[in-house]
Amino acid sequence: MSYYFTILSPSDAPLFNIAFGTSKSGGDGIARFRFPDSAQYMNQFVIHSSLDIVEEAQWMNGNMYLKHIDTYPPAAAYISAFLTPSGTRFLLLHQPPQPPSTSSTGGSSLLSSSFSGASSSRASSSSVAANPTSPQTEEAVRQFMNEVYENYVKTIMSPFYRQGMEIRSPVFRTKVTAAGRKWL
Amino acid sequence: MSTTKASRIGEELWKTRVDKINAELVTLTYGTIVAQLCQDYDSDYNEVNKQLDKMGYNIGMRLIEDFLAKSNVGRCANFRETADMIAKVGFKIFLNISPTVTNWTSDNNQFSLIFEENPLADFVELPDDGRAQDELWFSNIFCGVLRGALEMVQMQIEAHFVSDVLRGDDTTEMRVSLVRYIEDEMPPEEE
Amino acid sequence: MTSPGDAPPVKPPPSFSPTIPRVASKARYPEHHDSSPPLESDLVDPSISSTPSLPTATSELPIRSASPHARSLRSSTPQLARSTLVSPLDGRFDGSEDIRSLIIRSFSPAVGVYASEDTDNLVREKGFKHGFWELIRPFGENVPGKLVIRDSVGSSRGWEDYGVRFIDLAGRDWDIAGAGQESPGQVEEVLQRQLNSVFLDGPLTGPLRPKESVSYPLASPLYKLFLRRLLSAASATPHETFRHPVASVIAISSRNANPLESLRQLYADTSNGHRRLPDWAHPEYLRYYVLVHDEDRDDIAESTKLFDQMKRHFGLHCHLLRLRSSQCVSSDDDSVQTPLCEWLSPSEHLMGMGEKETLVDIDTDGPPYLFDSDVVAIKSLVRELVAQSVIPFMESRVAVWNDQVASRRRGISGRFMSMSRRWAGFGSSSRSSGISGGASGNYDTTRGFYKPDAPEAILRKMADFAFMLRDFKLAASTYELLRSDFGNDKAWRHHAGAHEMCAISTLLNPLPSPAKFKLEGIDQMIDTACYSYLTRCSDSTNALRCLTLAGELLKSRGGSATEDAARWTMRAMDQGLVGPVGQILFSERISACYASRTAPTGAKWGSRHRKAGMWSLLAADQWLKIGKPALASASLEEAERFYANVLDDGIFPMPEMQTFVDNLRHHVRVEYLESRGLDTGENQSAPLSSTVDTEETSEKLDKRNHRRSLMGLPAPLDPGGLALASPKGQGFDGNEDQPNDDFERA
Repeated sequence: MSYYFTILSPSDAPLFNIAFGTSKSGGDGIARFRFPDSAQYMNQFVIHSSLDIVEEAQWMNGNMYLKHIDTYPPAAAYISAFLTPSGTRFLLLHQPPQPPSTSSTGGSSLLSSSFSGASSSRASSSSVAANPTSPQTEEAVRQFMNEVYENYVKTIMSPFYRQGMEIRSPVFRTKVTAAGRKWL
Repeated sequence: MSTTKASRIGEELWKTRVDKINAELVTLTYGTIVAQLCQDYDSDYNEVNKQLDKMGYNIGMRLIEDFLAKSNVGRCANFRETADMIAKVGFKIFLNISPTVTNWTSDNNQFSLIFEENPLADFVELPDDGRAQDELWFSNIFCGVLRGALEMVQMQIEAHFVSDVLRGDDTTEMRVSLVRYIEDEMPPEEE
Repeated sequence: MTSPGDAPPVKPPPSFSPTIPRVASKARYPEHHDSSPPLESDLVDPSISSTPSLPTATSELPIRSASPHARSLRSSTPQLARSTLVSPLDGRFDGSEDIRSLIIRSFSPAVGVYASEDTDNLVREKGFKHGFWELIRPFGENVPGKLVIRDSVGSSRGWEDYGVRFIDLAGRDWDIAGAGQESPGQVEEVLQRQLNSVFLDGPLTGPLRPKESVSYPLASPLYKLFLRRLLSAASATPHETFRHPVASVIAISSRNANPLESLRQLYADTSNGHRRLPDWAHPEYLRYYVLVHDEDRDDIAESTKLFDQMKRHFGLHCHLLRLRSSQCVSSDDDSVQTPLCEWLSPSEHLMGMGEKETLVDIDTDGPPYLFDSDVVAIKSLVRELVAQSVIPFMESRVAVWNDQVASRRRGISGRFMSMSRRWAGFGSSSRSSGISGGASGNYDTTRGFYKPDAPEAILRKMADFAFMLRDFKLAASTYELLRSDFGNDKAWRHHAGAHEMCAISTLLNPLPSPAKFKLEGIDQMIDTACYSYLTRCSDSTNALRCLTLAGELLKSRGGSATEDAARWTMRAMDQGLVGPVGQILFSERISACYASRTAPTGAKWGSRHRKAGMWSLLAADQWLKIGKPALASASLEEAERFYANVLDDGIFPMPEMQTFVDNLRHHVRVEYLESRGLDTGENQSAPLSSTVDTEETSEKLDKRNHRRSLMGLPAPLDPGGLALASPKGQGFDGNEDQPNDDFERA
């Protein structure tokens, strides 16, 4: 499972982002997205496009953790969202690893990755890394989000952090990485 | 007066005589002041340190009255006792912390305060401009406070930070040196 | 701000519908502008394009010339669908019904054509190589006038867009299970060829321009071509009866020496001779006898006498068609060009029966001309055939089958029967899995079909009839009956077909309250249909059809269904059912699906601008990759429009996105100019100085933020070159704060 985590301000400005891979079940913590390296912007596009859903969900759902809210099927990218009370959005894109057999779709283009990929890996196990929509995953993501949120609050309390500014704190980055390693 | 006694006094005063306010409020207020100074002085951190010290000095000169009124403690017998009073009573009642007094010089004129915790610096991360980490003493106001307060009780001291966890150091340490006792002037009221 | 219609430069040419400028299609093929004829020639003849005048060329840059208000129409029309949903199919085809109408019309009854040799010869003299069938075929696609059809509960409804599909019985090869004969690959090939030819021939003069009399620029013409070809797959299959002839025209001419005998012989050929239908098709269908009278050579009195004789022998289903046998040329006074066929199968299209050849040089190779009188005669033949014979025949068959077969199944005993059947099926299959799995035993597993007189086959035929008669409610409930039967019999293609059509007829069935409409059942059916088609039958053509139709119909439902639509469309892409061009068209379609999802009134959320924008961008990227910068720029423009709703100043918040978009814009522009034979070097700015004034004006009028970013990109041409406003560009800019209004108005 590869992850792309982004914090966006209420006006969609990116405050923080980080890509990492799972550390569970032998993962090395390195993200391997299905998009080719030259197309990493796709992560941002997918996340950005899910804001349509976030905006809607935030009025329908009083919780901070909105769970899995959106999917980008062509790349089996799942988006989970967490909203701080002030409207900052935490968005986590998680993507199961590309199953080795997916070349059948001719997957050259971005648009033709895999549904089948999602379902086949779903079958393999119910561990966090394998199934993006299982209750275990939801729970793990929730824990992750909460931990990041705690650290986020501390970070933005720094007098040198101005609202809406990119979060460049290495401490925060470390904390997020740790949270990722711990939960995802 | 022993260190433990000082601690007891501090504890007692903290419980009974001090009005508490929200720590985050203090933290944010102080942080904002520092950040604003940095902005006003265009990230000239030496100047910011100076200003913080000056502000602290002004605070200290007033704060000592309040301290003495609340604590009702007598004149300290020596500089060592003063150090304990600062650490265990002063910091305790104003900030609810008790820095460790250590690293005395043999002449008992210099000591260090080691801050295990520092409410002013909660949440703080120094600007990552490559200089703040080396130049800014974020909590420099403490130095001024001590200087101002002790001057009012006939001690001329010099205080400065030598390390700060905010800069990535292992400890936050302030060095305090007694320059001289000011003999010719008596404190305004005393017991 | 003037309304679009008031802005002189964008006023639609009179030939277009009065209120709807069809500029969007222009935006898609920006080379073509009615007001700039020199450009067309410049396109058609590449040799001229080496010295184009720069101002013209740059004003043609699609980024500029794409008309915002046309686009707003495109995106706002889906709301029309909802507001008129009370009777969405009532023959009123405002834009949103465009695709829906296309889909409904694609399922029109097939009418066989079987003409005597003398008839075909007569028609060949008129220039129709393939004989009588070729002559009347295009006229069947649109029956003139309103047709009234009664549904199963006796209420009538008029249809303006009814048509039948004439199929050539003589040249037809009924190969069994013909599916697969036309692969999705062929559709892709059609698209490829069309794309290539469009840019050689000058766009929009042919099939890419939709023929519908009123056409909102809803879907790209190319996409509609894709749909039409996909839905035109010609081969009949056992699992559905849409291509089985409902009726057959049997024609002789006045030249026939032995007319009545010939008619009998023709009939015999079709009922038990070499022209009879394959085993899996119901052999009983309506015969319609036509006598073609040669106006130029034969005596009408003779023919009338013969015709009376025919009527005595064959009853009411007869028609006397009076045609002139001499060839008509375009210079003749009353010449009319034969209409083009809308519904060509992909293979026909590829065999060159496509219309595109005709575009190259209309004089030599176009469809033959007809005399006006011939056209009138053929139209009245078609109308009479359909209105007085085909439809009443189908109505009565549906009524009979409904009474005899379906109601028995629906009744208590039927349910019981179906229950016991199921039970028996379970028992038998567990006992001996070898025996044809099912319970009914009506399914021939080896040959893969039901005998035409089996109740399952009759029910399917009845459902298809009801569907073609547009009684979607009856159709849906009948398919519903069949779904489990086919499953029990392990008749997988039938199973898939019943699920597919059940979903589609349910979606077509107008419901008073689409919001409360339950989509789960539909989803399930589509899913099952796809699984059966793909996994069990490896039938990718039908799977693609199923997903495409599901996507389009869900999209037309509006609301949350549009997201299901997008999802199914993605599924089709993901399964690899479409080729590279198809992928791009589907990306655009997904974008359109999301675009049609709009915010609740007054709310700032609930729309899908970002998603729509993203898919348009992806489409633009892909167009560029296959070397179609003009199309890429249209998609890009579309994306900009969507993103304008959510971005401040057209700046993407995320830097990598911004970089990607900037690069894309740049490349689209450069390649577009290059494709026009333009030197993209820097020295172009000198001749532009004279136009600075217009440019400023248009800037001032330009109220949309995102434009600025578009203008500001570093590129060989300075902004002045870009904005270089032809009067057209100016007009558009002047209207530019309107689209958003339109867009929000739901």
